[in-house]
Amino acid sequence: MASTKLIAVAVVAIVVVAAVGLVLMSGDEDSEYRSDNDQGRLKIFGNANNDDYLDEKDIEALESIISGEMEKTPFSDANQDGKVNQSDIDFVERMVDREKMTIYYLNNNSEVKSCAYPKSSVAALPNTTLALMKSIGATDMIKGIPGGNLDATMFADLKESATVMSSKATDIDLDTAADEGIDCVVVDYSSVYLKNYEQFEKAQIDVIRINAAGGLDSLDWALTVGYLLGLEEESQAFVKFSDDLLKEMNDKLETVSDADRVTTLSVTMSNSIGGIGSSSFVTSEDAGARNLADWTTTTQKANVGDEWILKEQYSSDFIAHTCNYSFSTTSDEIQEIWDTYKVYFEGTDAYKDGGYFIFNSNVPVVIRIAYQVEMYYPDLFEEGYASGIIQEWIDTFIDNLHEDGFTVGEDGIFLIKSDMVKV
Amino acid sequence: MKDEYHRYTGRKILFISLCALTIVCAGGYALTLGVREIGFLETFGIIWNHLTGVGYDLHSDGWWDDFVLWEDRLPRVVVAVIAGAGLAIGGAAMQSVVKNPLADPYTTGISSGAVLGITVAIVLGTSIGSFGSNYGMVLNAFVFGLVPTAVAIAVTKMSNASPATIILAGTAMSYLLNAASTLLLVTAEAGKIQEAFLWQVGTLEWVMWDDVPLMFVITLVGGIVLLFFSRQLNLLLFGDKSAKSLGLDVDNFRLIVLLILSLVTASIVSFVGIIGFVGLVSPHIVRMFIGSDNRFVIPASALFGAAFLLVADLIARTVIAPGELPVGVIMSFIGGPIFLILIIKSRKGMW
Repeated sequence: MASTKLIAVAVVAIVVVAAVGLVLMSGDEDSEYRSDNDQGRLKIFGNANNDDYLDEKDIEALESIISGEMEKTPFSDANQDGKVNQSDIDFVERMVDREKMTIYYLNNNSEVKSCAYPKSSVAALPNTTLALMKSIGATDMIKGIPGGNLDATMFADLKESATVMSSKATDIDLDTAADEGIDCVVVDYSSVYLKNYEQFEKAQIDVIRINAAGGLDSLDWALTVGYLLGLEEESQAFVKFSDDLLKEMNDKLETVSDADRVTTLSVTMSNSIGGIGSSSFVTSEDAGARNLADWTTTTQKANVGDEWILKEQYSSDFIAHTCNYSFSTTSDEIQEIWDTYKVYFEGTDAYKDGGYFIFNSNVPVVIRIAYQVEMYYPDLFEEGYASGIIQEWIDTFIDNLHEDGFTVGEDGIFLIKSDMVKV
Repeated sequence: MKDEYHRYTGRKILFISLCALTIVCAGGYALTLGVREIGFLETFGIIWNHLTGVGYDLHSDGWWDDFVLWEDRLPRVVVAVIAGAGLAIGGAAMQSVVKNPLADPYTTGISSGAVLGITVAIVLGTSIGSFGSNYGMVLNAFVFGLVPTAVAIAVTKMSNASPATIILAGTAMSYLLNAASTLLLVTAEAGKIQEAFLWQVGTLEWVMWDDVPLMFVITLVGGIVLLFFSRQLNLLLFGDKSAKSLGLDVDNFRLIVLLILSLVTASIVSFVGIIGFVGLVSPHIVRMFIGSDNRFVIPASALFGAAFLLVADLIARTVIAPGELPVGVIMSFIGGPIFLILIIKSRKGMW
């Protein structure tokens, strides 16, 4: 009898321990998370296995490459000496140990650049780059911002803590950057920004060119800049947030048949319609729409009175207009924004049928996709779907707005639809 | 008579000395402008140390002073001096060669050609040479800038026309090329329009040492050649017939000078955009003080133009500090009224 009791107690104890273990394991899910992406999003040389991490697995991959078991990968030549050999393994071991050293990365212009690792004091521009930097937890490292009209709500913290380093939105003054001890400038890839970049490079201030406003490749830059700034965990958390949402949206979009796919045109700036390959085109297709643009130049303007946009071949169900407007835009101000831009599109079928909508561009790509899926497929994505994601992004990653209790919809409207304004 | 000659010579020396002094003072002051505090005299010391090879520890205070001064501030001053001198020399020679006080280096349509070259590079991404790079853009501006000059020269040659024809042909080319630029910009994105606009108004903000060699060599050689031709330019002031009777092959001489002017102007416009009034106003002011003899007008115009553009750039940098205006805008605000005053006050005997 006693032995039966003992066995019963032991069984209960085992079950309890197992249960606690399971609970603890499931509770630790985030820290155990490991992205399975192997598309080389982390554009750091030394990322030999092409995943999102720089770790022991890269050393294993290098060993396989050297022994001939595996093909060379784009980032396997860690020390950029033109060969993959033992010296790359030694180099990556130092990287894995997070030693201070010069490392190599690929910038958005596909140039191999060297960079002192890690960075500590950063200037960044323009607003899209700054938004990405904030999303990966780099706010405290940003010591320099450009002039011009940075959004007073989104960037209120930076306007207080960082130095305005130029009177222009497109540049940073070298003189000021030197005075503030900036060791790195993270800047959009367009040559419009940081025209005097050569002077920065001569002064050994690294210039990291990225595409934060692009499509899903903006996640590549989140990971890469995150690594260079020593903010790997933070950047990976942001990429996980994006990956999870993309998976959720893709799972639902997979249920849409080709015949049911909506058609769209995507607009940037005032009236520039994105052509094949432009980031707005790609983002609209990522949102499950069929984009009717059939030209390969980056954008084509739809000026007031233009006939081309009224042609049958461009008659789309929707026109998705991504706009740069303030985070603090409320219901009183959306009519003005709508009236400013509607003039270019009011002759189109999409506008007449209520398919024209405007959304704020200063948010991560996953949210730009979310706005669109909500509009394109209301049966799959409930009203307010995108707003919920913006709120989650703000609460998780944008500390100053979260601390101020920013509520999407009340404090700022990010998606403007025809039923919200006087058409 | 002797006293008058001495007074005249003294006035020349005084004028040239004042221009040189202004260049040193304005240049020195320009080198102090910026967040990093470097004193007026200190700037000259740092330049001397740099030239004599004094080294500093990387990113030390001395290193940063040297770097900021040498890489960021000095190129701007040097380019202002070269561009101001080149445009003023161009103005002096152009006014003599077409015998028209309204002529300036842009008269043959060089500026419109250069702007079209830049617009093509920015909007269409098409450039001669280094595709898409800054140097490709400069080469575009340079080559396109020479096209209207070639057309103006060809028209003049074909019609055997008067110097005024050069101006008229240049004006016609300007309208044509401006229309082409506008056509391209109508379809361009806002960012590209802004970039092209900066070339149209002229600015020294983005100049670097890389911009200096081509501009300097062409301006120096062009200036020396024009100075060498100054006696012949003086002959043109008496009219074509008189010049011919004194043995000058007027038509060919005019074409050679136009070609030199076009090269000098295109080399400047290609890097800094269109900066008006330097070439128009400087020779007029110089003639007021030292007369019309091109042997003196050309070098004095070079010094005055350099000082003029340096001072205008100082104003452009300080008037809305910490922001700054394109120097082309300031130059137009200063040059326009000065030119009007000169017209009102000018004596008939000057031309």
